[in-house]
Amino acid sequence: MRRHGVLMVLCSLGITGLLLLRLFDPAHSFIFPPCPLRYFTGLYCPGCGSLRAIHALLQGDLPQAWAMNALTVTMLPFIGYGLISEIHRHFRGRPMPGMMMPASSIRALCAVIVLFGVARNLPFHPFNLLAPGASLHL
Amino acid sequence: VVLPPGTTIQNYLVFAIVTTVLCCLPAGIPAIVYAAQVNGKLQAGDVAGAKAASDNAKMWCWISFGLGLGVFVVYGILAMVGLIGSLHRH
Repeated sequence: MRRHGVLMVLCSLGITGLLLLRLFDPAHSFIFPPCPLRYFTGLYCPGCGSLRAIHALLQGDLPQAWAMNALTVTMLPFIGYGLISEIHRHFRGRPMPGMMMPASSIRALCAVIVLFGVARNLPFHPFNLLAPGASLHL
Repeated sequence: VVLPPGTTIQNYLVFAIVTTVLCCLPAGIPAIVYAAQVNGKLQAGDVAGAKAASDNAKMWCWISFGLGLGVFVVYGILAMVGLIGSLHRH
């Protein structure tokens, strides 16, 4: 019973978040907090721009989303499948096919995320295009 | 990865990635590393080790999620205080 509770809370949070992101632009609305890392250090983290990217996607604007956070846009289909798999696991006790990745793949994924975070802070071409929104101002 | 029938050990990879990429929190990185450990130990047949790594992955996912939620709550309070303050000035 308690496990259903956690699932319900997480699902409601997710759906509320998506609705808010459909309605409000995180770039201009005070509803969404700024990234704490960016706020305190001025650095971009691997996730910076992902809220704006999802907002753009919910508005049907893929180029804008891609410019905000290419990594998030690339990973969203897999994240979506993974989340459905987690719900499947919750009720059926096993994940959906393809969810047991080899450890090496997960480590590679982790490296990609960290390297993306480093690369988008580099102040020279072409890496500076990875910063949120940078490729919109070409 | 071939598991003994009926054995699945949750690696929380999906939640680790969601909290890392969507909440932009460095605490998601250890969660991903432990997720990799879960699958690595399962591959090596070390079910107990995988279970321990799974618990660590879960803990880091919640830390990451909690930090994100904490930032959201603190930001919400500050935004409200700012809003009320600006209303008073007008």
